[in-house]
Amino acid sequence: MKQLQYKKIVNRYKDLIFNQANYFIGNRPDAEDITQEVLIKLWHNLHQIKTKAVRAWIFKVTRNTCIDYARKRKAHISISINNNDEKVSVMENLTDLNPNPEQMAISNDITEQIKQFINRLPEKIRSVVIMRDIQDLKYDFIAETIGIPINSVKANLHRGRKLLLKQLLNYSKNDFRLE
Amino acid sequence: MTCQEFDNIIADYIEGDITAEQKIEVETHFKQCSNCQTAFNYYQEIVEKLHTLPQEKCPDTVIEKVFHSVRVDDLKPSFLTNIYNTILERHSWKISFALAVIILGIFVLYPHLEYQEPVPPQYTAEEIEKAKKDVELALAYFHYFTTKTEQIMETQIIQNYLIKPIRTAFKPILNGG
Repeated sequence: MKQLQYKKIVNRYKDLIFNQANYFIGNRPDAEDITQEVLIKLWHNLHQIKTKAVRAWIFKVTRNTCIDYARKRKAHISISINNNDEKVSVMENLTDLNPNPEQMAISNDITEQIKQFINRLPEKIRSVVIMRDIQDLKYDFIAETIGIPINSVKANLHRGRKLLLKQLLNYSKNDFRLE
Repeated sequence: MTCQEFDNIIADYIEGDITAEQKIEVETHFKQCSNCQTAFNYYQEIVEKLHTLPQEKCPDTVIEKVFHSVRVDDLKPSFLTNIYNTILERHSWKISFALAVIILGIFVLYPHLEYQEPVPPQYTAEEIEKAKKDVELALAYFHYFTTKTEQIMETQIIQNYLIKPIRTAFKPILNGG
């Protein structure tokens, strides 16, 4: 029965694990390795995970494995987040960039660029952005999985969105100038 | 509402997680501050963009490697388990139906089954004689113990430890009254 249960769980969660890892790490080969590692851990721990807790366990272990992988990457570049970035409002961010309407239009062909910017977000913020905005998970589930209060989840999400927006606008501005 | 207050509430505003009063304040602020109105548009746009990012499928090769790592043999059910699972998965409704018929049959047929008088056990004459002797012996022991207890009560406890009115009250009882 364990085999059947395992197969069902694998089929149900393999894509979610892979996507979380792919957006967190930013490259497919590592995402595949992480997915593999998480699923093997699941096999070895399945006997001690309650059925209701499987989902939370998977997201938690995926996140932790992603963080381990990311830390092993010495050349990993992350967007620096300083006090000014945290305090600055969206309005101030945009005013600093002084964009015009043409520059501000976030084009559809920058999906890859967004993925790269997500990958450069600080770990705590990155997890929240991926789980909430990309995987559409609920705040309380994210809070439980990461082990932080819901308010912190919301604050990190807000910071993450602002950082992404700032990076995107910078990118659009430079891109526009190049043309 | 200040621009900073707007910044604090923008995420909740997008998700509709604010009160009616807060909503009015935000909309009033929009009319007064074009910068915040613009900022809100781009903030909303980035949120929408994130929500529509593609969800990729995990390659089958990954799952094959996983199954290989946890030993494929482990994942293959044994012959008996396979039969059991096949029967259970493919014929579950038939099994349920058969069980229901059996249970119903038991309930319908049970009252009509012929009632048989219980047959008393048969003992030999020797066994009966032995049982009688055992009972007589047990009664004799019982009689001895009660007589002895009565004597101890009368001669040792009542006479030595009880005051006269109580001793008098006990006399009819001990005399068989």
